[in-house]
Amino acid sequence: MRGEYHLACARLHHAIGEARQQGWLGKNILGSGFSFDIHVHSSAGRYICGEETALLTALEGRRATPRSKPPFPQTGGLWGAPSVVNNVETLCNLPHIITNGPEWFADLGLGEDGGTKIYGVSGRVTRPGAWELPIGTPLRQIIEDHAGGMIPGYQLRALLPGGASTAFLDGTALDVAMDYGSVEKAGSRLGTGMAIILDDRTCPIGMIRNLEHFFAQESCGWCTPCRDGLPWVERLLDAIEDGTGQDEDMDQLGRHARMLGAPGRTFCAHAPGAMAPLASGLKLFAADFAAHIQQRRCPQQSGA
Amino acid sequence: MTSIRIDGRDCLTRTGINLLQACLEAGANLPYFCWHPELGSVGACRQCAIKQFSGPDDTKGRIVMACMTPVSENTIISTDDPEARDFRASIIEWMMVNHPHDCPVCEEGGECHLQDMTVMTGHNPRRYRFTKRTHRNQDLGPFVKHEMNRCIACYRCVRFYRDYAGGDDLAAFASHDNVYFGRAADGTLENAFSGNLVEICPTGVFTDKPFSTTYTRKWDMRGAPSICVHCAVGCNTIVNAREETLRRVLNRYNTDINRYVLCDRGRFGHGFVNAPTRIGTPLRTIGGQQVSVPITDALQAFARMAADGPIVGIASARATLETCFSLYALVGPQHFCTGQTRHEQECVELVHALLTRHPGALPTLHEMESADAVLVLGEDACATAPRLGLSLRQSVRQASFHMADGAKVPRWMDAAVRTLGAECPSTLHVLTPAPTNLDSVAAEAFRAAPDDIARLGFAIAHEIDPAAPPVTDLTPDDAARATRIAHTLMAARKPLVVSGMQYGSPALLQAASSIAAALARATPEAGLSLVLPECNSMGLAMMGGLSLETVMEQARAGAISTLVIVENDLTRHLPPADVAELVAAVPDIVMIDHTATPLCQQASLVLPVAAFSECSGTLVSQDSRAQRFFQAVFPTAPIQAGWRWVQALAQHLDPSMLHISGLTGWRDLDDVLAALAVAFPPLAPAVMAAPGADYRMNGQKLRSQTYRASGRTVIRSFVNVHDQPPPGSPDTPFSSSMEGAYGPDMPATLVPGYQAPAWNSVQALNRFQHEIGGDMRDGASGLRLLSRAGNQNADPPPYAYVNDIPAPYAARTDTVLVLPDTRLFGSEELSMFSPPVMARAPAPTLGLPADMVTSGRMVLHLEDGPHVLPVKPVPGLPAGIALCPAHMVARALRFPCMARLDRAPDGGEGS
Amino acid sequence: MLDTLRTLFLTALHAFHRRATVQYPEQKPYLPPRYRGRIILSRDPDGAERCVACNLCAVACPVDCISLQKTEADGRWYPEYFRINFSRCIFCGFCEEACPTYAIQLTPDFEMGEYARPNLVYEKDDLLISGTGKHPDYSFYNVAGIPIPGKDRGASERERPPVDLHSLLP
Repeated sequence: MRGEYHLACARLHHAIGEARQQGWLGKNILGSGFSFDIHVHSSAGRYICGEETALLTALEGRRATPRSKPPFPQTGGLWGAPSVVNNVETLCNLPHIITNGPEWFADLGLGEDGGTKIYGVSGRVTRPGAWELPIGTPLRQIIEDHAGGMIPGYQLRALLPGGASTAFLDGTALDVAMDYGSVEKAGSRLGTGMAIILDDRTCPIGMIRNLEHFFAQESCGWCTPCRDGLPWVERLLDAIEDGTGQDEDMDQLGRHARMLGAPGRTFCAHAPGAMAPLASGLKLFAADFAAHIQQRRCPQQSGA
Repeated sequence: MTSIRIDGRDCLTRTGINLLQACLEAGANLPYFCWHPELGSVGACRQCAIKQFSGPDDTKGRIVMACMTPVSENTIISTDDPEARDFRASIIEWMMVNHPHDCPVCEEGGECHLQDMTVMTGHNPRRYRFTKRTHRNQDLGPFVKHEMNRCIACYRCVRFYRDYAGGDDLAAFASHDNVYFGRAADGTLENAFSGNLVEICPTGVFTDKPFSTTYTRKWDMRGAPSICVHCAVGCNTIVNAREETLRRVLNRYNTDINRYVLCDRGRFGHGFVNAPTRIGTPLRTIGGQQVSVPITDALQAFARMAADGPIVGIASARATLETCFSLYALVGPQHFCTGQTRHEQECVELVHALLTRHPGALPTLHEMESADAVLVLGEDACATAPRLGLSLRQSVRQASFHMADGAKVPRWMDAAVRTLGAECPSTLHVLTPAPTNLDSVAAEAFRAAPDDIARLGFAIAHEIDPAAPPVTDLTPDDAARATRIAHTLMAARKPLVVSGMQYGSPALLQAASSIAAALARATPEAGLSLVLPECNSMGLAMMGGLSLETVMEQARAGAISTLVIVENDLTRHLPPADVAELVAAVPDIVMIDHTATPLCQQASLVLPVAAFSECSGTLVSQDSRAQRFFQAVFPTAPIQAGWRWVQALAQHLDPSMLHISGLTGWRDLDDVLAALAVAFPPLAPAVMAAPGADYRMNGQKLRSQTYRASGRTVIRSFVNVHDQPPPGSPDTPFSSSMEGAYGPDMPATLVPGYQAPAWNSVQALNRFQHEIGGDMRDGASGLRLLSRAGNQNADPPPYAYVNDIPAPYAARTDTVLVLPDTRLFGSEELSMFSPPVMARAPAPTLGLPADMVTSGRMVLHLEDGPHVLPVKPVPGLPAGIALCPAHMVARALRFPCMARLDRAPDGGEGS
Repeated sequence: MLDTLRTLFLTALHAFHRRATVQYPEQKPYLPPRYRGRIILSRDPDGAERCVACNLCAVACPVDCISLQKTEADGRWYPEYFRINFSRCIFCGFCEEACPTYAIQLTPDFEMGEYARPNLVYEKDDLLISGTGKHPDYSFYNVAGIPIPGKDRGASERERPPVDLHSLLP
C-alpha cells in the first residue's frame, strides 16, 4: 500500500487478522494442503506506485520508478520471480467467476466486455459517488440516473470519463457506452471509470492547471521529458490562469502535448496520461485559452 | 555480424548490441547521456531518440530510444529524421530548464558532455521563461566537489556508485524535478572508487576537488599516457600538466586492466609530486645540515666518496626498470640490492615462480570479471589491489547474465538483468583473517588465521586433485568447507584463485597456486592471480639481487664505502635500529629520490629525481605486464630521471669501475632499454611495451597538447619576453607542443588524451575504440612478459605440489599475532604524501577480536617499541590476532610477528 | 612644357588645401567608443572584479597572448594572475567577444608605446580598472547559480530558493 494510506492500511491489517483467525490464511489452509499468506508492505508511496512495474520496485523497498519491459512481470517481476500484478477491483471478481462460471460473468456486461465495473462521478453533480454497474452502461445513465444530474444552476460543459489521465469529452459524447472500446472510439479512455465533470462555471484552464500540477508533482523523476516538461506545462498554465500568459505559451503547450503524449517518448505512461486532458483541452477550450491571454486575466475568476 | 540501415546507408554491425552503440560505431554522432559502455542501458534520459521503421514501405516510423533497442536483422532506422531531431533538441531544452548559467565558472566546461550534446542537437535559444530550481550542495570529502544545480538527472552517478562499485552512501533522493543525488548528510564518500564520479557525471555536478585548486581547462593542458604507481595492478592513467606542473590524473582506458575506472588512491595520490616534501635541488650534508648545492658540486662530492671504496646500490620496487637497471649497470650483480628484506624478496620471487609455473590461465582484470567461481585466499584485494577487487565484485554478476540470456534479455539491458539476477547465488568465497569489502557479495566470508587459511587451501587442492598432499587434523567444519569450495570451483568453467603478499605468507601463495594448478588439469581456463605490493615489484623480481640483510652484513663487515639508494625509503622495510646501524656503518649514503622521506635526512648526498609525471619509464605489473609511462611535465634542471642521475654519477667514476661501461653512453630511454634487453633477456620484451622515440605517425611526432592550447606567447613572458622553443622530448615519440599528429588510430600506448570532433569530453574515447567497450583502435597497451606455462612447451612437466603445509594456528595467551591491516589510504607510501589522501587516512586503530577488547586503548609492543593505540573490535577476527594498520604505526612492520599486548597505563578508557 | 607647368600648378594648389594632418599629441584623434584599443579588466557594479578566470578569452585569442590561472575566494572564481603580452596582441577583440562576464574589454586608447619589450607584458594590476567599463549594469554572478558572498544559493535571477529535501510535502 502507498505509505500515505494509514487508515486503509490499518483496515487491511484488521481484515487480514480476521481472515487469519478464521484459518483462511497461512500454511495448509483448512487442511487443504494449500498454503497462502498475505503480507502488507507500506511503501514510500506516491502516485507512480500505481504503475505496475513501479509498484514491484516499491515493494522491493527501492525507489518507485517504473521498469522497462521486457522482461514482463509474468517472467521477471518481484525480485526477478514471475509475478502477477492486478488491481483489487479485478481480483474481487475472481471468487464470483469461479463460483458462477465465466459465461455468467460475461453475460453481466452490456457490450463486448464482460462483468461489472465500479463507475464514479465527481464534480458538481447532485449525488457524487461510486456504483458497481454492468460494464458498458451508457455515460448519460451514470451521470443522470445514478449521480442525479448536474446541481441546479450548473451545466455540464465537459468531462474526463475515466479519471485525471483521460481526454476530455464534451456533451455530445454522453451516449457513449462506458466500455473500453466505445470510449476509445469516442476519443478518450475508460481508464478507472471515475468520471470528473467540468461544469460551465468552473474555468477549464484552472481545472487543467490543477491536473497538471498534480501530474508534475507525481512524476517520479526518472525520464527527462516528464520530469522537466510537466513542471513547464504547469507554469505555463499558471501564467495563463494568472493573466501573464503569452501567445508563444500556446505553442509550447501544444508542443508538449505532442512530444509527451505520443507513445515511446517517455519511459512510462505517466506523461502521456498527463497530456491527455491537456491535448484535448487545448482543442476543446481553445477560446478560453485565447480569452485568458488576450484579457490578461481569467474571465471566470474561479481559480479552481 | 549483420547489416542494418542507418539514414539510408547500410552498415555492418555486430549483433547483440543496442542501436546506440551500433550508430556510434558506424560513425554517427548520436547524442546520449545515461547509457555508459560499462553500466549498460536504462533508457532514462531519452536523449538517443531515433526513428525506427517497420519496413522499407513504412514512411512514418516511430520514435524509439536507440540505447534500449537491440540490433536485429533488417533494422531500418533514421537519426536524421526531423521528428527525432526535434525530440532530441527538446530533451536538451528540458534539461536546460533548470540548468544554471554556470559554464564560465564550472570545472566541467571544455570537457562537458552536456555542452557537447547541446551543440550536437542544435538546441539554442531559451524559450523557458520561468524560474529554475536550485539545490544546496554537500561536502562530500576531500576528493569530490558537489554542485547539484547542474544535475540533469541521468542517474549515472548512483548506478555507477551503488550498482557497479558497491557503495551505499550515495543515493537518489526526492522525486520529480527535485531529484537529488547525494548522501543522507554531509560527509566523505566512503567508496574507494568515488573519484570516478568526476568522469562518469556528464555535467559539472561531481568534479575533482584537489584539481580545483589548480584548475585548468582541458584544452590548455598537456597530456601524457601514464601508469599508476600506487599499487602493482598497473592501471593506465592520463596525466595532465600546465606550466610544467602536474595538475590531475584521469583514467586511461585499457581494455584488459582498468577499463573505465580508477581507484581513488590512484586518482588522487599524485599530490606528492607537488607537495612541500618534494626535493627540488641536490642536497649535501654540510656541518650537520642539509644544504642546497649545485649539480657540479654534488657530483664532485660523489666522485670523492666513490674513490674511497666499494659502491653498493639499493634499488626499489617503486622505481622504473630503467632506473633499477642503470643502478645495476653501475654497481654490478655483487653489489646490487633489491631494497627488500629477505622475507619480502622470497615472497616476490615465489610469486614470480608460481605464475611462471601455473599451467592454467593468468587472467587479466577484465577476464576476471567473467570468472564464474572465485576464491580469495587470504588477501584483502580491496585494499592492496583495489581495481582488482572491483573486478572480482563484477564477477559475481555472471549468474545474472546467464539468467538474462535464458530470458532473452540482452546483457546491456542493465535494470532488467539486475532484476532477473536479484536472487542469484554468489560463487565468490572470501577466506581472510579480517573483513573485506567483498564480504557483502560473497557466498561465504570466512575468518581464520593465515596459516589456517593456507591449510584450507591445501585441503581444497587435495579435494580437487588427490595427487596434492592431504591436510591432516582439519576440523569437520573446515573439511566440509574445503569440500564445498572445491566443488564450486570444479563446477566452474572459468574458476579463479586470488592471493597475495599482504600477510607475508609463502604458504598462502603456495596453497593458492596448488588449487589453481589442480583445477587447471581439467579446466584450462583456471586462473591464478597473485597480488604484489608495489608498482614494479614484478619487474625487480625478474632482475633479482641481494636482500637488505645481505647488505647489512656487508656494511657491518665494513665492505661498503658508498651506498647509492634509488627511490627507496628503507625505514619502511627495516626497523629503526637496523636503519641506524646501517647508516652508522656506511661512510656515505647517496639518496636519489623525489620526496623527502625519513631516510633522506640521514643521507650525505640527496639528488632530486623526477616523479612519474616528469620522466618516462617502464613498469612491470603484478601479472607481468610491461607498460610504459611518459612525461607530461618537463621539469626544470636539476630534476631528471633516475637513470640519468645514475648515469651522471657513473660519468664521475673510472670506467673500469662500471659493471656495464655503456652506461655512460646512453642517450635516451631507448638506449637504456636496449641494454636492459641484452643484460636481462626475460625482460627483453619490455622494449616493445610502447613504440620508441623514433615512432612517427604520418611522418610527425605525436602532439601532446591540444590544438587549442592557449597562452603560448605569454606564459613565460614575465621571465623572458622572447619566445622559447618548446622543450625537447628525446625519450618519447611526443612533441611537447600542439604541433604533431593525433587521431583515433594512434597506438593505444601513446594516447595522451581523448578528443574527437564534436566530442570534447571523456566520451571521445568511443571514437578511439573499434567496438565501444572493446579494444582500442591501434593495439593493446603493454606487453605480457609471462605467457601461460602451457604455451611455452608443448608438454609441460606435471605441476609439482609442495608438501610444506603449516601447522594449525594456535592463539597464544601471552602474545598476539600481529597482522598488517592494509589501508587503502595510509599504507601506501607515495599517496600518503598527497594532501587529500592524507586527509582521508584514518587515525590508526588496533583491531582485535571482540572478546579481547578490554579497554578503549591498549599498548602494543612492537620491534621498535611500545605503541599506544585506540582499539576497535573486529567481528569474526580469530582469537589471538591483532590487526595493525600497515606502515601507519611502526613505519616498518615485519610480519607476521608476535607482540605483547597490554592495557594502556592510564586505564585506557576512551580513545 | 605646358603640361609640366600645369602639373606643377595643380600640385602647388595643395599648399592651400585644408590640412589632413592631426597635430598629435596636442590634438588627439577621435576614437569611437567601440575602438579596439588597450585591453582592460573591468569590475562589477558592486566593485568586485568581473573576471571569473573562465579562460575563454585565452582560448579565443588568435595569437595566444593571454594567460591566467583560476583561483577561488568564498566560492567566487577570480584570476590569481592575468597576463597579456601586448607585444603579441593584435587587438582583434575576440577576447572581448568571448568574455561571458563583460570583464575583458577593449578601450579607445592606443597610447601604449614602450621602449623595452618586456614592459609590454601587462599583469592583472596593469589591466584591472576600478569601474565597470562599457557595461555598467551587468553582473555575471547575478545570473550564475553559484552563491557568492552577498548572494545566497537560489537568489540569482530567475531562481527559486533551494529545495528542502527533508520536507514531507510532495
